[in-house]
Amino acid sequence: MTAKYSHFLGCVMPTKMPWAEAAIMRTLPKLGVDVVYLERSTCCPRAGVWISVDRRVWLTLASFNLLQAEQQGRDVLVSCNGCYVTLFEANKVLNADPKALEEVNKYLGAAGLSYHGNIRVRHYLEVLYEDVGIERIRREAKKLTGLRVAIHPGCHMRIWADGHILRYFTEIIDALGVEIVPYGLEQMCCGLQSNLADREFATYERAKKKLDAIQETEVDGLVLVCAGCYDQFERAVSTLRKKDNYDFKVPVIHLAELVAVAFGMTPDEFGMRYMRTAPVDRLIEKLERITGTARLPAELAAATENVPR
Amino acid sequence: MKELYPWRKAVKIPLPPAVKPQLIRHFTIGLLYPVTDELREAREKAGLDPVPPTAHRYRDAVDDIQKIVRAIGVDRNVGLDLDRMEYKYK
Repeated sequence: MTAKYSHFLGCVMPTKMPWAEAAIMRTLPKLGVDVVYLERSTCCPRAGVWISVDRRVWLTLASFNLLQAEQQGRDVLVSCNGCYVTLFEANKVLNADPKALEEVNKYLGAAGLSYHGNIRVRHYLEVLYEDVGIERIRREAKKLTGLRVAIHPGCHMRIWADGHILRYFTEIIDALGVEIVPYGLEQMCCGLQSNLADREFATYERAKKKLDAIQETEVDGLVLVCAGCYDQFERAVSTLRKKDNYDFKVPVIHLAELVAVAFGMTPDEFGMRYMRTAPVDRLIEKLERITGTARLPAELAAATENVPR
Repeated sequence: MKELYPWRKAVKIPLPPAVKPQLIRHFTIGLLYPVTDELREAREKAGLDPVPPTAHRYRDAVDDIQKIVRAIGVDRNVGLDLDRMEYKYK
């Protein structure tokens, strides 16, 4: 039986990465994935914050999101590493520990709700690699040959000891015909969690070190699959621009955007130009050249007018 | 209680300063970031509904979160007045 998914958006994707949300919600159905929105969702919540404050809050508020999918009769699809870890781990605890589930349901009962733990939490990369199939992606994706990217896997992509999600990440990029350019700091944290303790450290000792190394490689984009990491990079780029006149010219993109283009969508069909950390015009031109969808100057002017800056 | 334990004082919970506004946003709108005019425009240009189908659209989801938080009692533990969305300890 084909799996059915409710896409959990989290805090950052719907408010800072609408292009990624649109790319996922339009491309997955084309690839045969049954996906709808996980409605009424709230913050995942961030395990790094809540486990240290009160573990019951982490488990109960995560359950609030999980039960929305359970009520829809669907598994949860998560397209952010951070949200994935929160929801996957909470679901694992609630399935393994009946007392924890009972306690959570006591608190959910205050809102007339309950969770039964009958669903799975799956990462966007697992759905692409396992459900859609890496062989199908290799076979059917329009190859984005000539595109050179740096990757930021993010700490939470390494949740599994066997490293399968990290492997899926690089194999899918390879299947799209995209070249991964090494920069030496792929495994370094973006600095998101450090923000809670020391914003200067998070900005200069984590994000900027990565941004400097990536900028030197002259790649077309920095690819990630974590909205939390995107949030950190966006904040760091903005802070560095204001404080130090630092100019980071590499667009930070979600893998879903490359998948969308490789499966026939044009960048303007999922709003790729808007709300970006760095201009994406050159990347879009390159993608359109590679896919043979380059437009006439008049069409381009119409698409770029009224672009919010 | 004060008559019985005259020296008892409320304990100040040391929440990290960066966490405090996050909790208020979480319990006020359900998520960390609001929907702005720029966002509405960008979402429409991406072919999406201007307001995402998250708690941004469903106020009752935020009401549920507040009921749950009160039931756990974490608001009292961290000194957060949920009605006024203010911390007891600055």
